[in-house]
Amino acid sequence: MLKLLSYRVYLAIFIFFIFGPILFILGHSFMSGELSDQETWTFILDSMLWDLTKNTLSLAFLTVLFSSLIGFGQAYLISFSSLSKKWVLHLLFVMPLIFPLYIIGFVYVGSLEYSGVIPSLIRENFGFNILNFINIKSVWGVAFVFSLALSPYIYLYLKSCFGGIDKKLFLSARSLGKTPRQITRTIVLPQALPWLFSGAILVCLEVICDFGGVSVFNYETFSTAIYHAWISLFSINTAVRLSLFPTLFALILYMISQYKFRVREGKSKVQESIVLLNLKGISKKFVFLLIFFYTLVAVIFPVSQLLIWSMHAIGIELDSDYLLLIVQTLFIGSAVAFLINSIGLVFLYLQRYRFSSREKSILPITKLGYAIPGSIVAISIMAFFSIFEVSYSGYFAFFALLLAYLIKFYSVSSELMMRGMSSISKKMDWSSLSLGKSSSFTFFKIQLPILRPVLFSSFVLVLIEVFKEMPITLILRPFGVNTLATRVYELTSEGEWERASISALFLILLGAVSLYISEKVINKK
Amino acid sequence: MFKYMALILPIIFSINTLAKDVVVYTSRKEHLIKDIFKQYTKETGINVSYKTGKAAALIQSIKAEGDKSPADIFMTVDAGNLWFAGKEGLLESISSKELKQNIPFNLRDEKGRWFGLSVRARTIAYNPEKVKEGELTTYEGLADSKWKGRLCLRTSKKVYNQSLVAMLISELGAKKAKEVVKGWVKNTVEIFPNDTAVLKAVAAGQCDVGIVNTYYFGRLKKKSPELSLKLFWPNQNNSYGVHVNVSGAGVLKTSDNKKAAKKLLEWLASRNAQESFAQVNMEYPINSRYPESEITKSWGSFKPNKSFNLSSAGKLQKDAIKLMREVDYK
Repeated sequence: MLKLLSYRVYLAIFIFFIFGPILFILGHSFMSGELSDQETWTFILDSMLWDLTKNTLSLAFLTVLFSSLIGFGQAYLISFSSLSKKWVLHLLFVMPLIFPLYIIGFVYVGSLEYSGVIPSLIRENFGFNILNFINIKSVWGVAFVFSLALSPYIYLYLKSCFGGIDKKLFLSARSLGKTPRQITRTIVLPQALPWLFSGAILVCLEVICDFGGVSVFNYETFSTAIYHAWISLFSINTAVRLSLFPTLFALILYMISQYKFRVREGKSKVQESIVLLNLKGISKKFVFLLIFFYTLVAVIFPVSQLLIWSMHAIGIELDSDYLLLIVQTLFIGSAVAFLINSIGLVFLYLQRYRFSSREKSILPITKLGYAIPGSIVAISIMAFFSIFEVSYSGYFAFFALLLAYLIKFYSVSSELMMRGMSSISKKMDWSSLSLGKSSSFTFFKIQLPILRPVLFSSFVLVLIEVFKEMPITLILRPFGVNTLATRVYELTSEGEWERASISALFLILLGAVSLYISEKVINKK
Repeated sequence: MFKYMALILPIIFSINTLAKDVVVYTSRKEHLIKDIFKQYTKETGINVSYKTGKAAALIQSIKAEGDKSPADIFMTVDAGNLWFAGKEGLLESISSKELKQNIPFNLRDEKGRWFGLSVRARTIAYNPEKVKEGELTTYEGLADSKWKGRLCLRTSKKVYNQSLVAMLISELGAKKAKEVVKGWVKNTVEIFPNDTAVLKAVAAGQCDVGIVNTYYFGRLKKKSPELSLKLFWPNQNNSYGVHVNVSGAGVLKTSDNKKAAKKLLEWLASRNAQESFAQVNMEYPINSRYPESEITKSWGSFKPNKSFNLSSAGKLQKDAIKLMREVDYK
């Protein structure tokens, strides 16, 4: 089927859909000659730009730093330590992935602000104000909470990197008498860098695009300014122009990652687990203590706080509507994950066998959607199709919703697939092709089976992203459709945290089940 | 695969936009409107379907859909949003004797493009254990240095505060209003993302007073009656009165069911519907002659600001935002 049209046409169609709406609305916003838009734009540039840049970058930097530390440590433990029961640890480490930032944010703010349970208890029993020492709403606090939820991205990237390092390297290094520390420095770290960079880009963009999370902390970033310009200052054009800043930033990052941090091709693997960190006695206890602390703050605490809150609201909030909410959330999530991964596969094939280097150099722009706030993606689609005056009440709404998700989350799956693919040696292609097999045979029969775990991860990652996503769903969802995330929005925006925690728990449960199933499937040999 | 999708889709997306329905795009939350629309259907046999979302996004949808938009009514909170929808030319001027009769002049658009349907007051909440009687007087009074380290505010990004400052600009002039807000900021302990957090901070003793919408106070007190919190009505004597705002609605120009839409608005503003519409969210009825709920009654009566026409809230919203930015109100 792929041969029906030239592969360049596929690329052009894809770029048209994924980039057209954004370009359209950008062009439109800069052409707007309205005085009020000009005023608002100047106002934001003059009075807010410096603060916004400073706030956004410092939060992004700290979050990347913290989550890299956490993620690296976790991946190292899983890949190179002598610990047993690693699958339990692995599940713990990926768990926070299913927490939307706005949910983990409201749990932490709700319990650590002055009127929250913990500071109140400390004040009453010990007579001092803990807020003098820990301020959860400072940039450090926000970065800490965000890192808990975002470190799994780094962890997952590094874990697949460590798993793909040629084991012969370790064996020869060892036979040369290198210590584990030397091996880590000379083999592990250089190989980890490109993967770390990719993970860091994801984390960075999550931070920059997040609106729900930062607003819980009343922390001002580019995202909040975009909303402010649109919702309070009534200037959609200013909002769109502002979103250009994070988009350009992302483009630069992607370029750097494409040209400076290429992933090295993997070699044939020796089936042997490598132990660089032999944990015994006190060091083992220390590591367990760290893991326990992490589990406490990243998993046990948020979940139990939500459980406690939901107890208060279960009577008024839980009804049969929830069944529909769950079905709709699941349906939208799987439809999007299926679509995005199918398209991802097509381009994976084209990139491996068809695209010239010039065409490959265009590909980073297909990932830019990830850097654009969801609401702007949604608005751009509406503006784009407004030429046809379509109603968002039927199937078209579903199409628009799918397209918005595709723009927003394509990079999640493509990044993962490309990385996975590039660690399969080209030699394998050459041997298959030289034996007279076609490129599609090589792709489907040889490479896809190797990539199966990557495909599953990618499917589940997109699925969970869609479960968590709020602005796009809120704006483009078809008439009468609600998801668990929109329910959380409706309730939290009215300050009804307790009722919202029930939808939040369902959301987390769905995410957890999907993660669990995918782990089972991936690990089944 | 596609065959099954075609079968499943309509079940999943229960598309309930029959020709006879009145379709409402609303930023009011589902749990606050569901029952009142059911009541309307029960009384009239006319079905009401709705789509919820943020006001600005719904306005954008209505614009993008143009004539194809299924929406008949745009319903939202805060006059600023209604004013904007009117200014963008989305709302039809409606002339209705009933609406004019039932809704006070300052709570509706003078051209009949939108109508207030419930009233909320933005007033002062205080901790009676820490604030002495007579200490509180006016909004302006909170700028006095005696409140230093005692005031909690919600973020300036919330439209409720933008409308409040717009009202101050209108009543006091921009210069005086700026001094007042500057004083507030100086006295503020912390700025919160929502009113409930402000109230909790006041009750917990982090600060002594805060400015909030009345229904947040009502909801929190209902859940935790033991909290040390009370409402105070500022600017009562020889002054303009408590700042009030509305939730409201207007009929869309693109609606092909305008008659039915107008009828729904008239019904919502009627005594019969107001009892539930305002009370479900502990708000005040749009017409002060209508009965109040026992809860709002228990907070005492007050003089609302009648001189400030709510259309001005929208017109002055940008000025208010700039003013707040200038005095570093985050």
